[in-house]
Amino acid sequence: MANYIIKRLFWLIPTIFFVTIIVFLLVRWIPGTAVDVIEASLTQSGSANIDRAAIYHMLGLDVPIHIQYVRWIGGIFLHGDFGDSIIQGRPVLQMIVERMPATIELGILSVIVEFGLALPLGVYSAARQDKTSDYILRVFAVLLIAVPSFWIATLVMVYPSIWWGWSPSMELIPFVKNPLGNLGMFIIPAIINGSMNAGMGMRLTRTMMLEVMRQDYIRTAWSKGLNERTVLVRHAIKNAFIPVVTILGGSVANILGGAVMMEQIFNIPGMGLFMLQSLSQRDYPIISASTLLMAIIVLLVNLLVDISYNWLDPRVKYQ
Amino acid sequence: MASGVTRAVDSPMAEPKRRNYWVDLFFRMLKEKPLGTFGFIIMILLLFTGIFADVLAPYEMNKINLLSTLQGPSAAHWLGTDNLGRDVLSNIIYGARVSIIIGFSATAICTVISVIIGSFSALIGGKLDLIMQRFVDAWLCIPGLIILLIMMSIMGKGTLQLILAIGIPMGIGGSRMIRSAVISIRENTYVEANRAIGASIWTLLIRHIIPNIAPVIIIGSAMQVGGAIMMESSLSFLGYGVPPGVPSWGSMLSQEGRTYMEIAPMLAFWPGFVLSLVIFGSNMFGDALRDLLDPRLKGGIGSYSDAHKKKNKIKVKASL
Repeated sequence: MANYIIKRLFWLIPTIFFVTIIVFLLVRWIPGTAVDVIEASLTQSGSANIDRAAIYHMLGLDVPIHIQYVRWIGGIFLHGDFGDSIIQGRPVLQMIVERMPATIELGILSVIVEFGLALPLGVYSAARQDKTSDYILRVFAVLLIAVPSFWIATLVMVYPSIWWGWSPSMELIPFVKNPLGNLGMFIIPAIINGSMNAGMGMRLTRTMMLEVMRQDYIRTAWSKGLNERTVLVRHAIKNAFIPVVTILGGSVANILGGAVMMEQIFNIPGMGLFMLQSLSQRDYPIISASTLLMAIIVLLVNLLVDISYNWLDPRVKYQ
Repeated sequence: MASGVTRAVDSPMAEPKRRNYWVDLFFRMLKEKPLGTFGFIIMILLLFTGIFADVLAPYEMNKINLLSTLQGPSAAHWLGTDNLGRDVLSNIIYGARVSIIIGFSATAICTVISVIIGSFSALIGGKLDLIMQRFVDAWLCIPGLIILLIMMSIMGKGTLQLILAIGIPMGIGGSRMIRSAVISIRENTYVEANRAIGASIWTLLIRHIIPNIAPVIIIGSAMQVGGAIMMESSLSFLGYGVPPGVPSWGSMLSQEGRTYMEIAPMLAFWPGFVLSLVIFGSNMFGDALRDLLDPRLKGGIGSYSDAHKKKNKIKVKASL
């Protein structure tokens, strides 16, 4: 087990290396260099003489691209320094850390909603295989996949305010001040974001349950005369849920992507909204830093999922 | 092929004359997969609407009529009008054209890229495979929407840009599925024989690998059309998609739909409804295709012969 974790950690290195290269190159390709942004802001503030070469030097853009990359990477992994925001001049890491809690809260609530829907409905669907309720639930799962989250979010913004004069809060309510108000603010985007991802989970849970229900030990349990509840809860669910855990790894990236959408629509000041603003302002250090951090979050969750596989399923042997 | 033979032996209802494989598949879908058929009809309707948008739309694209703005549904404007007096139905019909152009082209690019990356990674193997898979790993852990947003910022708004920005990332992600399909057939004798006679990797790929993994490619593509349309709408919704003036379901939803929601609430309803319908259709059609084409499911639950046995059993029960 310890060997396996060390090996997995070792394998993270090439992946993180590729992530940094992808992020660095993608962000560098965005046209309209940061110099133009600074020049524009300086011209606006009235300074007449602008030394472009000095700005290039200040931003470290006057050296070849591979040296820029090494400097960027070195700053991050040696000093934890993601650079400074071009527009605001503050350290990027500090700005991101301020906005991270909102995204993480939204993400965790979304995951709870996702699994809260996917697991029970998937099990029920499998237990009633080919009955009407199974059919309805399967169509419901595809509907969850098909209906765009931004449409539902828009409808939630539009209709309740027309019908009941109610609209979601547009300002962040701090958790410490008003825990219930804070949860009430996050729960709607989380339900939308989570249930959009629950469709896949429902389908996988159903497939896994059906797979398990065909096993010999389930037949044994039935023939012992156990009731359906015991067969499902004691014998089937535990074995069926193990593969389902792996979809958590896949859905984290989706949930973070969906959080960008939800934060934009519900005006939640998290990392996603921050990224959208930075993209339109061409504030490169923020874009690359927040993309890199999101990718690392996804990688770490995937690592945890892989490791927890052993804890859940002793049959899995690590090599 | 094998199932075709067994079917002829097993099922008394099988026709003595062998039909074309694809025609047979089509009839199987009609008989066994009502939801798949429904999805297929939606996709055909979408294609038809997109191609004949000029004929079908009651008004010209973006025809501004400031005398009738933000109207409700009426005989002249079935779905009402938006803030500039543009007919919503017409814009939704033209939006279908944008959706199919982007959906199908992006899927085509995605398929080419995923087949090339996936099969080369699997066929060459070794270090190249290892490096490429770490690259794909890295790509997959960056949230897709963020890659799309950055790519659209690089290339600027436009249809071609959207096709590339959606197709390329989807292709890199989709290569996983192709790679595992190729790995499962690369040990076959015919691949080995081809290598032995010194055929180039391209010959091997085009003559032998692609035909043998065709079901996987077709199923993947059918599923990805819906995904590509969804991504296009998401980007247009966030203002990174089609340029202004091009009707797209996503931008209709975010601009007119959200700005004028108090006065004309249905403006936010229709584009999303059509979008959901199309993605639902594409998913159901893809599902049905997978059940019908996937060789692992052949002869199992849901196959032609089994379904007939089941139906016959039900008939017997009913007659008793």
